[in-house]
Amino acid sequence: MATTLKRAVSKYKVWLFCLLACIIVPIFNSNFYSAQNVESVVRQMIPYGTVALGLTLGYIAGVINLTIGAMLALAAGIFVRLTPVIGLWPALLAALMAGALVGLVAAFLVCYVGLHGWLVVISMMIGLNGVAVVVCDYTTVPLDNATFEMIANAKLGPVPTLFLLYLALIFAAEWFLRRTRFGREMYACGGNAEIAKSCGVNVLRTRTITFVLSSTLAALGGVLLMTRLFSANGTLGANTIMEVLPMSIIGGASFAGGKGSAIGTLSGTLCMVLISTVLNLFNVDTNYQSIIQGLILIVIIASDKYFVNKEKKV
Amino acid sequence: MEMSRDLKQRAGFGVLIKRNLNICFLVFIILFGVLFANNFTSLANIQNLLRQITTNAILATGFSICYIADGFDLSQGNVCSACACVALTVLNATGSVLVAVGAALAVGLGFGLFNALVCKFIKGDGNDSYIVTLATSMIALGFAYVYTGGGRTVTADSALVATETYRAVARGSTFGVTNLAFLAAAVMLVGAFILKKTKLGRRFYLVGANKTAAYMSGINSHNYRAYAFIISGICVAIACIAVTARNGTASATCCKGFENDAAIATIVGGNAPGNGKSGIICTLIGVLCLGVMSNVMNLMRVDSTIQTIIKSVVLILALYAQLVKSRNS
Amino acid sequence: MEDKILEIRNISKSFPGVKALDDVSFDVYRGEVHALAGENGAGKSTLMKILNGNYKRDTGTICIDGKEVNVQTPNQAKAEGISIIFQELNLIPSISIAENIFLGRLPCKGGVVDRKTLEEKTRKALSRVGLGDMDPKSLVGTYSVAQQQMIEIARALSYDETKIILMDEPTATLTKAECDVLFDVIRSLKKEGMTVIYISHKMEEIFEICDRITIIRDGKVIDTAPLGEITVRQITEKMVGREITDQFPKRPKLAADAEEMLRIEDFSHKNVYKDISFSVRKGEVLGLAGLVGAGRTEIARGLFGIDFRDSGRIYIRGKEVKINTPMSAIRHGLCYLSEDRKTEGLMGTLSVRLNLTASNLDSVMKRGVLSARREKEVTGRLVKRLDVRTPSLEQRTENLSGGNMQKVVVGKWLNTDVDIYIFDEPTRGIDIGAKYEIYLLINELVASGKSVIMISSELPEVIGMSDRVLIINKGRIVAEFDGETMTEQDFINNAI
Repeated sequence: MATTLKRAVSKYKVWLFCLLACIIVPIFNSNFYSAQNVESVVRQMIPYGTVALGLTLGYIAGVINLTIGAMLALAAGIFVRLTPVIGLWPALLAALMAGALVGLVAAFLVCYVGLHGWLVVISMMIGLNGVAVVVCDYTTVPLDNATFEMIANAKLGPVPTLFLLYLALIFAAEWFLRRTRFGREMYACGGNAEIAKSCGVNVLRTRTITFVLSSTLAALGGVLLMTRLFSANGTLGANTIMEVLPMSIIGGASFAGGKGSAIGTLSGTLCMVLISTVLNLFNVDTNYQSIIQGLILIVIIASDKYFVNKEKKV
Repeated sequence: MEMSRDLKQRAGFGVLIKRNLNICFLVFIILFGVLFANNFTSLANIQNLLRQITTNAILATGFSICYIADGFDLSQGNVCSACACVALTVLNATGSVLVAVGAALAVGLGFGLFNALVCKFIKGDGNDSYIVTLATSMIALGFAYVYTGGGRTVTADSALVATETYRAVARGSTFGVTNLAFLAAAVMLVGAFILKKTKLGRRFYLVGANKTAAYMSGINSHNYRAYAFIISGICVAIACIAVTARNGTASATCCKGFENDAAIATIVGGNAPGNGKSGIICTLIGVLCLGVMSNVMNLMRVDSTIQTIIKSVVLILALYAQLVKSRNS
Repeated sequence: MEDKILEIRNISKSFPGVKALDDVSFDVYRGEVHALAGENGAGKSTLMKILNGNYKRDTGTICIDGKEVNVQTPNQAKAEGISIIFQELNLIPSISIAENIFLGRLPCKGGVVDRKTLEEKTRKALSRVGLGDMDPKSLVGTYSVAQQQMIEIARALSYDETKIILMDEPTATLTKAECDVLFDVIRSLKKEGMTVIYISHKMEEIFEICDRITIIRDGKVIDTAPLGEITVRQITEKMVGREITDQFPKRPKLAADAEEMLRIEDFSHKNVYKDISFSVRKGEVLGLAGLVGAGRTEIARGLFGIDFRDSGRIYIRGKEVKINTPMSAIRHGLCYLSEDRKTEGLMGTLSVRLNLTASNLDSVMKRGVLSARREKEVTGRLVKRLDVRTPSLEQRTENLSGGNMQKVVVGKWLNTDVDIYIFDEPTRGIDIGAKYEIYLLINELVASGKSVIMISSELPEVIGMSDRVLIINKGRIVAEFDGETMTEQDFINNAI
């Protein structure tokens, strides 16, 4: 009995944490359950959760795609600039295609040419950031589109339609990861690429497609961010990695690869958004929030790595 | 040990280029600039160039030392901003250059120590230090925001005598060369000295090459990587002095992204983890490459986004060259 | 006429400087369990990798079911009916049993995994190894090594074409009970007509489960015989026996009053080694002999502080010291030369010069600063003394040959003032000429007052070079012999 309880707690610890937060915090701050606050939480999850999902997909397949921040800004910029020119939906398509393209380039450099993943990502990040800035013409570009505003604000009862779409995306991704051959092979590639390759899995192809998926999701996240900000500028993605990485890792992904899930990422997203909301509720200075987020990240990395490396002396 | 005769014969021109790609690239850009950019060789431009590359030179020194020991310090930019804010605030408050510099050093050292301890605790390698320093970067940004009370710009009080002295680092010149250049040169010389002439520096190479073998040879690998981060922190503090002396202002985002240029300079210059030929000379070449490239592109009025993209491409090419080199030798 | 399922003829394979397999020929009959025995480095794993398509043979043929096959890749090997289960398990712990077994050939309908078929097929494969109750959806990582091994066997069986299963030291990490389960599975496989090649050096097991045995030594087949017609003694003789010729340099006898340099008492670590105590005197070579897996390397690494150790006391020159890390070991005068030179002994991407001075940078300091000139002098001298064949001091050590790599590692320690050298397989992978040079080096070391502990699996080397030999068997010291008078027979009597 005790072990099953222990195992259940361990498995669902993130959800439990969120539940606890939802129970304890309102005791101290009655605004927690205000419609405004709940909506804010839900709306924050949409763009960041999408990007986090892309990051998680990467980690599952053993692919580290840290260009997501820059991709976010770039996609948002493309979307905002193109909407008045070619219309809402073509602009969306263009933004997503930009994401796919960037993913392909990154995949090419890392998987085919064989460059060290991290370094490639830095270099691409630098380039993409620059492009994002120029796309936004060095300023903040406002988005003024009636249809878009309508979609952004649409609700089904009390719930924003976009949130339902986000949930649908999560569940679709979860199904994809669990039930399709490609999804299972992603886990194999991340778990041990050598063994996967020797069993006949096309690791290169799997990783390339994962790069593209994760980049495209980051692009989608950028567009979704516009439903909150309604304006884009080149510096948008600056802190994205820091905010989104914990969502993936808390949600079960591991730096080592081969682990993680879409629903886990959902829980991680909820967790991080709740933390930041609570900090706001208690009027914690936004500047301190940055410090706290950095510290959370350190704690997560340290605990993930410490146990892995504990048995080794060097 | 003498090289055999046929090896000597094989070291022809082609091999010479292959082995010194970084210098060739530098020569190439300089030639390009001389040919296609107006006023490239003018004294004013060269002085300007020198001024522009000094900050990166100092940061790149720290970054290179970490990189040789197989670590990344991506927190350099934001920590530099934090140091800058502290330096100017303290300068205004105490009117003492020494105390301001000391305060900046304390902040740089503090963050460097933080990086060092976390990386040591998790027994991490290069990949791990990537994320850890990114997190530290975030903490430093927050710290700077809090310190400046929400992103205010700190301006050095021009009424103070100390400010004059402080800014003389940038404004003044000796023998016609800006003092900044001497500062950067001093930092690079010390860096080179550490790497090539001290036990500490030599151990960076050993640890970066193979931390397990280094450990079995009696070197506490993780400690040495930690020391590298501390040195990087000190470089960041010195760099902030260069930045604030030039601008006279500091803010939480004044040095954002500086680590990217440091990384590019380090890698394009030819440094590689645990590679005996890496060193501050490579860093210097990289700093010059980057500086001249930017300078030439500015003179040719190249759009800054294109500049960023070109930088990215150059970095990727440098990485590729490194990869090919390590596969062939 | 016996039904031969596998005929290996005249297989030879060479690597730079080393001939791994020399005209190997033997047959395997259908439905038998055929043991392949030999010491480490005998060539068993090279032969396996050739059968599996990882390596290409230089000469010779392989026939399966009378038909000549040319296996170039592991997938081809599987298609021809050969399935190998290596010691390092080929499983991914973070995914399920079913996914591991059918990785790369998951049954699906239009991209979606057909879970029902997958589960059925997995259960079928698992039941052939007696694990029909295991949940195919459970993660492989949650199972013990023994169970994972069974899952690997199940995977081998899940390929319909599998005719021959090769198992590489399958019981290395199993308990007695788990071994019994494995043997039951092997017996039931036999009944089904499956052929098993069983690689091991454990005699009791070979006699319990195998029908015939082929013994390999130094890349050559020494004998193939039914197990009913050969004894343990004879097998071991053939496995380790070599002509002990005068190929070891002589040195003066150890002084009777030589001071005790190192003494260890009651070294124990989990079930790897227990109650290990011995001492080494000044100018002495102490050999640690034993079969593979006896625990000698673990003892040495525990002593040097690289691996954790549960208990034990260390005395240097009679005084007790605490050694928990290589740093403190070196400080007390100990050094360890790992059998894995490339990854643990040398910084491959750095030059000979930098490697030689790695453990003692003080030796090249002048006025508080690293002196390039002094370094060139010191390292030049070392290279000359050790006759390291390298085009220059700046040559990357990873480009040196095995023998020269070893010399550089020794040189690194010569440059320090350590008194006790622990060599782990000092001449593995080194050609005959360089081997002799290493032996001369060891003699020089002890002549100058150093002590040497030599771990070696080459019996002649241990007997020929040591003043005393300790035989380690299953983590315990079981015998001690005088190096002058010890014979192979002594080893065989005690090491098994």
